[in-house]
Order: sequence, then structure tokens, then C-alpha cells
Amino acid sequence: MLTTSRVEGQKAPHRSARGVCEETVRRQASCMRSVTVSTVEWARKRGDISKVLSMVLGCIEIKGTHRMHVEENNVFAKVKGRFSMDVVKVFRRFWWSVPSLLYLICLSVDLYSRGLRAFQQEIAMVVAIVQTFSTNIPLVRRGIRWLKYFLGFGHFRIDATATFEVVNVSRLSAQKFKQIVMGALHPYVKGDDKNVDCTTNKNGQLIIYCDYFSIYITVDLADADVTAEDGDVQWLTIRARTSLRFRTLREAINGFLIDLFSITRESFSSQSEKYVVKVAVEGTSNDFMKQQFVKEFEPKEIERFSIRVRKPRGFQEATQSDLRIETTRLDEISNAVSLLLKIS
Amino acid sequence: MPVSIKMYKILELPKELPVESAQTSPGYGGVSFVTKVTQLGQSEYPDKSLDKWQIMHEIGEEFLGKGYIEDGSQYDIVAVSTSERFPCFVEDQKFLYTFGTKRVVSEQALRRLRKFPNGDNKLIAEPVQINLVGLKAKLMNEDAIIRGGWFRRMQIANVEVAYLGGTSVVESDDWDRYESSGGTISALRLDIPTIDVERESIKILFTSDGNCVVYRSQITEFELLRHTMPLFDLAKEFLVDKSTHVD
Repeated sequence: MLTTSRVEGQKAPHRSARGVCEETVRRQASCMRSVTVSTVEWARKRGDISKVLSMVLGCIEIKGTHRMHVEENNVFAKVKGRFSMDVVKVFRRFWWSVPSLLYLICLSVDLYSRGLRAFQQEIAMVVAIVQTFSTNIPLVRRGIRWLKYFLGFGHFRIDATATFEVVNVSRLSAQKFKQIVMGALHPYVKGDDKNVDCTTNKNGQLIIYCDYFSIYITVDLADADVTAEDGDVQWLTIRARTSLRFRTLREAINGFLIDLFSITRESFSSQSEKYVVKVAVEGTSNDFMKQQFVKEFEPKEIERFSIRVRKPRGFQEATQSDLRIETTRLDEISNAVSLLLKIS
Repeated sequence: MPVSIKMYKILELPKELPVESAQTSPGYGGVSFVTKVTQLGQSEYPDKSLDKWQIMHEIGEEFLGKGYIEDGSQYDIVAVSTSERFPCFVEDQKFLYTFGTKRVVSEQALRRLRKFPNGDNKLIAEPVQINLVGLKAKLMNEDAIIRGGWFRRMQIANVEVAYLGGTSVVESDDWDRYESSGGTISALRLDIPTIDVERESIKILFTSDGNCVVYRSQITEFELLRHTMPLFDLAKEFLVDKSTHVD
């Protein structure tokens, strides 16, 4: 009797899942639940535990999905497929927790039975635990990097560009920009003109050197080929480049650069702006980023790559040479600091 | 020589024609300029009821020089002036299309009518803003073929403006990258096939501010309207609400 009901149970989904409406799926789910229960009894008698488990879990899955619109004909197959895939996914993602747990148990048993004297023999175990955690949990990885950077290791290159759309600016005034840079530097140095050097090159670009952060700032003006209501639109580009340690870099981005850009935006009353911040680790090989982000290709094989991540307030990008933030919102550029924790 | 036709949205229609702007002074000399709109009749396009008006727009430019008249007396010239005349079409009392002049001139003329009206009888028409990303999706199901596009304000390092062109350029990955990186499409290059097999298809550049440039010389009023009116009809669905527009 039980066997027949199972046969029916297999056929039932094919018959009822032809429609795609919610009603059908719901009816089918309740039908399948009863069938599954009888199958469970049947399987238990045969002692096939894995089947029982998969059927029970399959039933739970159906409960979860019966509100969805299902477009495939065979709902049962789809649900089963999802279930088996989930186990594989979970296992792939968390397999490392099994060996780490074993390491931890061994370590604690050893320490309990032999005391701290045994610790010198357990160093390998501790290293293994740290290694396993840092390869498998991004948060731990980032924490270790943060600690390393904070202690002063590592030198970082930063290249920040801001482009403003301004109207009716005929030429760049060196005096005005010196004032703007001095304004942004105000919290760090007290009104000393010697801190800021300003020159104009033969193309009319301003080149400003700011001593406190050893930062080079280039200011450029280009025609945008667009006419607004009250004049010609131009692109005013400010590019700042430097190489700093982590703590100073954080100060330079969160304090100086944000001030510099916001003062410029206000004093030129720009209509729209774009900020791009590129960060990279100083003194690494050319293949560093390729090794970091691409696993399956040899660095020599890769000409270029680009991983573009859409964030709600802009874009983040990893390329063969640097990490970037591209955004229209000024406060977003401070995320460049946390972006550095993705590389080491 | 290419011909351009530009779309405006009418906010207030004049009670009667002709309608005039107030006398405006450019700020030099004792000169003042006026813009005047008069009725001409109906357009040559039979499928739609389009009123044809004429806009007379006086413009001047600062100019320093000497001038002599017949009796030999000498005067200082401080400005030169000219008046531009061009037609426009009014559809359904809602939209206005100017053509036969430079885009800057038509923009100036309508701005003067809008900003400096003379009394209660006034014509207020403002430029439109069209969402070309939406229009592009719609056009892909129509006869027109998209051959290229101008992109602006993308959030991509070191690129402020870009043009992508090609036979099936909309399907390229780069188009997708530019379109989905926070910027806008500022213009679309379209090919509209002609019924006459021997003539090549009509090239059109359609910008997001409703300017439609047709790259064909010696085009008649009827031909121009026949090719551009269906495009404007599609674009009307994608007008961006400019309630925040500051003027």
C-alpha cells in the first residue's frame, strides 16, 4: 500500500505543476507533504536513512517555496535540486571549520593534560588555526592587515582626481588656488606660506606642492564643448598624488582631500562633480594585483583585468595596477582607506 | 548642410497672435531688442495638425568702430544688430518645434519671450529633457537603427565624455559599461531607412535636450517633419519632469 502511494507521489507533481499560478503550487505542496510522510515511513522500514533525511528536508523546502511562482514544470525536481545544491554550497564554504575545530580540541586537550609546558610543541597548531581562519574569513584577514598597517608597515600610493563642471572660468588663478590649499591645510599648519609652493607650467596648468603631506596637486582646465544657460561649461580637474604611510594617508584623505575638494566645489559653485581615488601599495611587483585577484591565470598571461563593483553611492574597481573608487559623492572617497584592507 | 529641429514644451500659450517680448537692452549703447511671434498658417505635414508660426528675433553684438553716412558726418559705432527670422510649429498647444536656424538663436529667442514677457499676452516655452536610455530601449523595437551614442558624466576614471559607434553598437559590452556607470546618454546617432532604395538612409542625431539634427541637405519641410515627427512622438513618453528646473 505504501509503495503505491509513493509511485503516485512521483507522478503527482508532473500532473499538477503544469500551471504556473500560485494556487496550483500551493495545492501541490500540500499534496506532496502527505505523500512525503508516507514515503518516510516506507523508507524507514527499509532503513534507508539518507533517503529519509532528504525527503524530510525536501518537505521543509516545499513549505518555504509554496508561495513563489514556479515556472518550471517539474517543481519537485527543482526543489530537490536546490536542496542538494545547498548542502554542497554549505560544505564548500564551511569545510574549514571542521579541521579548525579539531585543531582547537587537540590544543585544549593537550594544554589541559600537560599544562603550559606543552605549548612550545603546539605552536604549529596555533599557526595552523590562524592560517585557516585568515584564509577563510575575510574579516579576520582584514583585521590582521589593519593591525599591520596601523603598526606602521606598508607604504601606499594615492592618486585622487576631482572633476568639477564649472561655468565661465576663463583662466586659473594661482593666488586663488593657493588660498584654497591653505584653507584645506589650516588644521595642520598655522598660516605659513612656505608650506605651499605654486607654479604654472607652459600649458597653463597649476602645479602646487604641499609640504606637510608631501603631496603634488595639479590643476587643469578644459573646455567641455557644452553651453549652459549662463555661459560655456568647463571641466576643472584637480589631481593630487602622494605616497604615505597608512595613518597619515587616512588623515590626508579624510581631512585634507575632502576639505580641498569641498572648498573648491563651493568657491567655483560647480554644477556636477566626479571623484576618483586610486590607491595602491608602494614597492610591490607588477604582478602583485594580478596574483591577489586572479587565481586561475598566470600573471604573465594577463594583460589587464577589471573588477567593477557597484555600490549604492558609487563604484569600486580593482584593476591590474590599483584599487579605485569612482563616485559623485565626496564623503564616499573616505572609503578608499578601508579599500586598502583588501590588499596586502 | 544639416538641418536641426528642436522641441520645447509650452507652459503658457498666448491669448492672441502676434505676441511680443518686452524691449530688452543688452547693456551697451542706447539700443534695445525685441522678439516677435506671428501666425503663418498650417504646416505641410498632413498627418498631424501643426500650426506654423514665425519668430522674429533681434540680436546685437558689441562692436567698436567708425561709421560714415552720405553727408560725410562721422559716428562712433558701438554695436551691430541683425534680426533672425525662422519658423516654428505648434502641436496640440503643448509642444513647440523650432527649425531653420541655429540652436543657440532659437534658445535665445524663447528665453527672451519667457523671461521678459510684455504684459499678459505671453508665450512661455521651456527646453525639454529626454531620458535617452528609455528611448533607446523603445527604439530598439522600431525601424530606426542605433549607430552610436554620446555619453556624459559617467563615473569612470579620466573619461568625461565618450562616443561609441558601430553597426550593432548597442549590443557591445562597452556600451553597457558606459550606460550603467551612473552617467547619461547625451545624444543618439540613428539611421532611418528610406522607402527609396537608391537613396541612402537618413542620418539623425537626437540629443537629450530635444534637438534633432538631420544630416541631409535640401530637405523640404514635409520631408523633415515626416522623418522627425514619429521620433518626437516616441520621445514624448520619456520626458523628464523638470519641476526642479531653475531659470
